[in-house]
Amino acid sequence: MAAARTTGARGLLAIQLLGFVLALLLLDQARRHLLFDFNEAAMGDFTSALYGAAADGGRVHCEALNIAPCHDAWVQAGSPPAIFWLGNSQLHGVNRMVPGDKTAIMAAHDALRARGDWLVGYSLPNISMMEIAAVVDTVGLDYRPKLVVIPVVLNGLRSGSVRDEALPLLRRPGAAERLRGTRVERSLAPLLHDRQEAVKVASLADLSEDRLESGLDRVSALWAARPDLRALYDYGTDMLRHRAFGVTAQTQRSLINPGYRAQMALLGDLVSDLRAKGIAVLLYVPPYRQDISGPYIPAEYAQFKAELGALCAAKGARCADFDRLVPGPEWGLVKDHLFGGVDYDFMHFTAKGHAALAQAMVAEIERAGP
Amino acid sequence: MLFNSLTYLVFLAGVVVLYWRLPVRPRLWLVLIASCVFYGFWRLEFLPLLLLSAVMDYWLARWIDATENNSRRKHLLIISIVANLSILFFFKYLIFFRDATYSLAALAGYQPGFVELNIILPLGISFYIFATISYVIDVYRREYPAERDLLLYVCFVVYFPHLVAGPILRARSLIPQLKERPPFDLALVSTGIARIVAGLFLKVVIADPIGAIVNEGFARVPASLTGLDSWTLSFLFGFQIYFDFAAYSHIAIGSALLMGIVLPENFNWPYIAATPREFWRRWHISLSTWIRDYVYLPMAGSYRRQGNDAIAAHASAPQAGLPREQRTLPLFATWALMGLWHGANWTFVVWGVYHAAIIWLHRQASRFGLKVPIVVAWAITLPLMMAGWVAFRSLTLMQALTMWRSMVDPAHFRGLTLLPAAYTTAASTFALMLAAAWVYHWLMPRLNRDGTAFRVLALGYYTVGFAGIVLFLRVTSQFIYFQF
Repeated sequence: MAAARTTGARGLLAIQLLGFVLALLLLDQARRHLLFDFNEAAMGDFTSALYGAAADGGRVHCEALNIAPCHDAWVQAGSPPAIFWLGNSQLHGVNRMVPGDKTAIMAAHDALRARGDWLVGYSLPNISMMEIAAVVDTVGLDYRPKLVVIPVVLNGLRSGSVRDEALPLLRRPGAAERLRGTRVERSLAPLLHDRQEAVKVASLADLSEDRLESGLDRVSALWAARPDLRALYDYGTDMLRHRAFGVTAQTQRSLINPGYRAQMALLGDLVSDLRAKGIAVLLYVPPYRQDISGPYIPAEYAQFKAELGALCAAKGARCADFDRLVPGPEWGLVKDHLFGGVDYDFMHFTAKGHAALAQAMVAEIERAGP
Repeated sequence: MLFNSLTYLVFLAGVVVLYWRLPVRPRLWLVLIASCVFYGFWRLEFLPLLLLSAVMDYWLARWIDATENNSRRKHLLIISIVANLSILFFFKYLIFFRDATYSLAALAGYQPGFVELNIILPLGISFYIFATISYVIDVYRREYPAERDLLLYVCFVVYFPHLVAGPILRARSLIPQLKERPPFDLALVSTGIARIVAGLFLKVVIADPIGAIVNEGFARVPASLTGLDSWTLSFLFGFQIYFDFAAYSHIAIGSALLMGIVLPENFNWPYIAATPREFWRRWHISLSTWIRDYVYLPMAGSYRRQGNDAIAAHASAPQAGLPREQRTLPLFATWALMGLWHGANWTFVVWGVYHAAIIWLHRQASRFGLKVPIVVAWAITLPLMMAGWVAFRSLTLMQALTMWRSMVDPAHFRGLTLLPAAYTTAASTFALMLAAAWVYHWLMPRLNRDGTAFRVLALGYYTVGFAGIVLFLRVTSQFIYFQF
């Protein structure tokens, strides 16, 4: 903003200084009065993330970006052929969680351990099909799996990208070689190499930035609260957009489009690649709240299930439909922390729901008998 | 060192304080040392290349200046240009041309052995190489005398505000300012702070969040995008690259102003341009004028008609060039080079040729003397410029072609498959940009007459600006033009 003719250089500097002070006061007020638990809000009220250990103490359910704990437990167990289960936050979100609750992955691991199988699960919020392909091909194959289990979420077939934070998975040593010649390679290959790699190496700038950031975090509560304030800003803009366009959890949006087709084709490629390696595949339609109208258009949902069945038949995978597994009262709610009110959660359910999913999954795996 | 980092802000404050306390000569040493520190914070091992390139051109320019023999002067000029372009070729284009050669060989049925190359692109190499080439050419043309002071000349090349992403400076615009010791000017300082605030806000509050949406969209399978998706992504990337690069230029200009040095403007509201030609007068001005002066005009200039002394002929009659119909080849060649300057990928070449085609079409249309209302001309120009960014941002030619096809094929228009935030961000950014243009071009000149209204508006602007910067300042991404 150029200096006004009537506001000299001193005046402008004073305005800049005052603006800086006002900005700090404004942010500090937001920090004191507006912050809440975003992790809880992201998964709906009273829903918590649970990644945990099996009854024998080894980690068997991990976040997809935090590979090591589950891998270490598997190595300690003697690296047995594994069953690899990968999905979205439905697998780690537990509504109204109490101590001792288990996710479906943890419960299924315990049930299958008795017959000598090692089930390991990874989950990532809103995981896309490209991310599933990336994790299966770069992490899943480390386990020499005999069976790969993938929930196919209709809403998840809308998006076909890999988030920045998941890119390191694709750049793990050996990832490019492992993908070479596979069907999913053409979808993931552009992500294997970083266009800006030259300027992303560790440098003096990185070191000094880390020092300055952590130093300010220590001396200023406002600076330390910046990630939460940024999350508040993102949350606020999302809620504002939903309000402006009247979007609720039950708002139906058409999902079957070229994006959906591309994601289904990618899923088909992934199954073909795994089957070519001699690995069995189990695809399932995940639990979906049935007692109220949901975001899926019924005709599209039916078409999706039919197409998934056809894909399984064509590619030699097993298919299961678990969508009626969890009764209405076991599902969660989402609270609007900005404007008030609650909305339905069509993704996360209670530990009872997880137990039902685990039981159905174990039965399906036993039927598959890999 | 990145402009959008705490490290840079601390570094800049220290340099500015020291700069105003020192007399001229020690100031130059400070500029040199500070610039080396600035560059070395990225990678120390590329500093010698930067300094070596500067020193080489210093001596070659002096030699050219001292030589009366035209033929020898020309040979020295060629040595300088070839040496500079060789450095650029090795670091930026070797892998690209190797791959192209291998592809051609494979088409011809040969399978040559594949040599693995791991070459890191030195930061800002395209910018400082162009700055030194223009200096040597200016000395050759006798438009600027060779600088005798090595320290001063090296400071011109490595001056940190413009070092890694421009503006691409000419010696005549910086060296005289570095020589002087202007009195401390509070007006320049307050304007410098204003420019830095504007730049940081554009980068961390606007460009980076848009960048996250763009990355997500361009990472999708291209065939899955509908026409509306592709148009949305092209506009979003158009906004991202503009705000990102304009932000860099604001901070560069602001940082220099804090030291009493005025750098040329690099952007002038490009998205309000009503013709492709006007767009390029408003976008990356320092590169556009560099390419015009050192590539296009010599190619399309008078020397072809006169046959021998190209540059002298151009200098004496810069407007006298090839007939209009014979300027097409230089136009396309220049733009292909312009594209290649941005990156070693066919997508950039296609982006350059796309713009050449748009300019050529505009030239042809202009010959009919058709008068179009300015709003209509703008409404045609803006989408054409935005569509061009698809090639620029795509990782492969196939991705660009697939997205372009979806943008023009009515059968691909059904549905919106991106994240909802993509559409609302594109629409709100577009509206905000128009509002900002209205405030800047219409409201501000009127408010300047009323000090109180201006002060209130300015206070609101700086409060929001600083709040956004404090909240979002973090090194999540480099500036896009760092990779060039």
